[in-house]
Amino acid sequence: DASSSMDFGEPTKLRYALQLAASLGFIGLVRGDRIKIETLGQSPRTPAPVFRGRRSLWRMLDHLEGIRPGETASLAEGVKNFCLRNSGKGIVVLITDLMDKGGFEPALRYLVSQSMDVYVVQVLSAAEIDPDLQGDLRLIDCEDDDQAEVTVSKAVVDRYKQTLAAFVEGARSFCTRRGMSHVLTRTDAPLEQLIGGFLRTRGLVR
Amino acid sequence: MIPLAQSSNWFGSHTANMFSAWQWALLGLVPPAIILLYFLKLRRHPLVVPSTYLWRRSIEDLHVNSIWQRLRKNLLLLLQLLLILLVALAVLRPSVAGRKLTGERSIFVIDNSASMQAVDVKPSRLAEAKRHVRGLIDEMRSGDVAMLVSFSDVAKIEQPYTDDRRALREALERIQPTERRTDLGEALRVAAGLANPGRSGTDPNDIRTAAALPADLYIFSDGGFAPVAGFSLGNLKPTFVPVGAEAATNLAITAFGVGRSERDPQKLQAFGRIENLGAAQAGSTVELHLDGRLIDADRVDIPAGQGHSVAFDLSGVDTGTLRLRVSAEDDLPIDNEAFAVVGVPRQAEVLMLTPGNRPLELALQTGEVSELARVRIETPAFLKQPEYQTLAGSGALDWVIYDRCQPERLPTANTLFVGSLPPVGGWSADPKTGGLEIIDIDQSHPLLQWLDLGNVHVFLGSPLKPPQAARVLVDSDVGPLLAIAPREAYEDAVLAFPIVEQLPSGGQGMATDWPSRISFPTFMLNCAQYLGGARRGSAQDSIRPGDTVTLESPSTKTKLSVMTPRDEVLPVPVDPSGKAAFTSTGVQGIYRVQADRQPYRSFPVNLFDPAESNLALGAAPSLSIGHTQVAGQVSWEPSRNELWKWILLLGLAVLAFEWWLYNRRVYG
Repeated sequence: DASSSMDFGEPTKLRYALQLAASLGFIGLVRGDRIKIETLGQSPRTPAPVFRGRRSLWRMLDHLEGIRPGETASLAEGVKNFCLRNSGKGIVVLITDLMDKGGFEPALRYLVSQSMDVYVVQVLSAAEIDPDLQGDLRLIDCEDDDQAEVTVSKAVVDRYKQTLAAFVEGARSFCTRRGMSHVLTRTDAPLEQLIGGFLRTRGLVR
Repeated sequence: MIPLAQSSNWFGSHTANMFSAWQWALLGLVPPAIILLYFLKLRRHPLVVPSTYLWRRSIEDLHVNSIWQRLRKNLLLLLQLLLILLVALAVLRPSVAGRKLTGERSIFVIDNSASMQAVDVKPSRLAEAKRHVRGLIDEMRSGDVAMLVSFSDVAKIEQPYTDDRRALREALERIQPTERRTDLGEALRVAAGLANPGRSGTDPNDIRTAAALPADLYIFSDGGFAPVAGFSLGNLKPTFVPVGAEAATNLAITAFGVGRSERDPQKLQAFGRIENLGAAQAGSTVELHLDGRLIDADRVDIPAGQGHSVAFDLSGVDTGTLRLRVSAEDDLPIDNEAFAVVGVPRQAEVLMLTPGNRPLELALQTGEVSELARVRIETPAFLKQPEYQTLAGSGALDWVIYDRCQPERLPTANTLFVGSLPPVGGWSADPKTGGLEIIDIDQSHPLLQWLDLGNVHVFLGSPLKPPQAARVLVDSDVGPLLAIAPREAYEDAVLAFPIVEQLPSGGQGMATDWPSRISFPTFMLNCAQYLGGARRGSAQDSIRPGDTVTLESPSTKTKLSVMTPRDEVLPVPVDPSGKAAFTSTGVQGIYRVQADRQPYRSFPVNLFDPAESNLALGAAPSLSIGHTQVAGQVSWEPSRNELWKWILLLGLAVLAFEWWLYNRRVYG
């Protein structure tokens, strides 16, 4: 997911996503797997390059370096295009914040229909999980310029956290029921902890 | 000050319009403007976020789930509208009717004499006066100063000049009713201290030392006292506020005592006088109690404005305390009781120094005088003896008579000089002259009570030149024949003529025919009572509340104490002459004197003041102060007590609450 919403956080969610992709890609290259790294905004007709073998590491990293935020495709549309480009078996790791006004459910349903092992890594920044906002604000959505006027009070922040928790729980429940693995991570969490810990227990990494 | 162009009356309060029509229109636009601004909403800071998706859902949830959330938004609006409403109300200058304190300096003079305990106005006249003053203290503006004085027959500054209204209120609460009589004069002198500098009240030539500070003088009293003579109000502007009802009911005991029965001098009788000072006939049972036990009673019916005497036989009563009580309920309960003491009389110790005076000796040997006084007769030669010096200086004597002789020093006792003069004190006399004609006698003095000297002739005497402080009791065509002057705690009486005169032939001749008149033994009896300090019959004279009692100690080493009717025991210091002054006689009742903790004597304190008991104010009460007649102020000049400051303060409170609420919403 290289949408504009991924360009937030410290480090940015996209940066974190690229590092995660590079790590997983490296593991795959070392194991001799076929690695393909695509963004959701990628054109259906221009498939991403395929990497295999340790020698492809630098090429893969160059490819990752070329990914920029600002793609405008919706989550569902991006996943749909991915599915059209990539049929067959394999492991799909979807790295996204799942923040799509159309909902994440249609997108994930496309993945369910593929005969792939699906891992959804939901990346959120610290500011999204624990917002430090106060006062009368006009919030502007970076993707669609949607505006929400809100007087942020403690009650509103508490309510936001409840909504976020329900949102994450909804995604996890959706994935679990459909045989997908859902992992929530935050950009200020160490990457090795995510890979060496959680993804290893889920079987993505051995 | 903006003129009160228009005014209206809302529920007894008043408003004054400060704005013209267009100004009001402008003010009227403010509430719609607030509402408009409220709908235009606040200026919000823009902030770019990854997604408004979750925020919007959170806000929607709050909107849907919490009506309070919506109310809180509206509460701010309502508070702002309330604020502007209060501002508009303050601009209308609402006020309530009040009483007016016209000056910056006020003196509140409150009568707390016995009559102020009357309950013709509830709860009492004093409470009503305090209520009036409390109202005036509340009316004081910032910077106004006031002084609080209470008075009965003495005045007390309860609170000197201050602008501290709380101190004034506290001082006001401290004022308690007394059982004393009323004398406005002292209170006026106290009040005039600052208003009329230089008027010390005693020295008309006093030098003015400070600028005069005019003051408004508010007198809260029920009257009941004589006009205040010899006082000029000067810079004091008086207002008399009469306290009490126009007419009241009151049966008062104005006299009560014990004496010998006229028919049988061996018997004691209790005499009392009850006066009806109300406007209608009144009746009551009169009870006599001896040591708390009812021993007799009588029924009286007294027409309005008249009095009635009662007498009770006290056969078999030797000692004890008597209480006379009028059982009818009226507006002044404290004068419905009176007290008297029956006891063994103390005999006066009298020393007479005479070269021989048979008429005088006979007059001192009558039964009445013998009962009162123990008389020792010596010759003038006794003056030189040490025993005389000891007696004269010890205070053991009550009265010394010097018949045609003169001591070197005056004794610590009252004296009567017959045909001679005291060696000190400024006494002198003209040469002896014959055929003196008595032209005036002062029957108001106790020495001359009941005396008629019209038939007395004085053949030979030396008209007196008494000192300035002396009071002339008998005057003749050529000069005073009897005068009395104070000397420290004692008094010296001087008779200008001898009763008997030593003739050149060696015999005695009469210098006056007075001893053959009935008035002579009566005079000596009066002297025994007054100068000897003895009391007639078996009763102690009553004194008025607040008066000073001089107690005579059995010896200078005796410790005296007095138990008051409220069972307080007060020590009384005895001076070297064996006398002690007791001043704490503020309440009615029996005061029991103890000498070295043993009962010594008792004395009663009674009000006995028809002027104090007369509660009627009359239709047009007024005071007479010097040459000024001060009419009673029955109604107050109305004034406006403006409330706009309070309303603005309330507005500020609303503003503070609104700010707090806003911050709680945003940061809480």
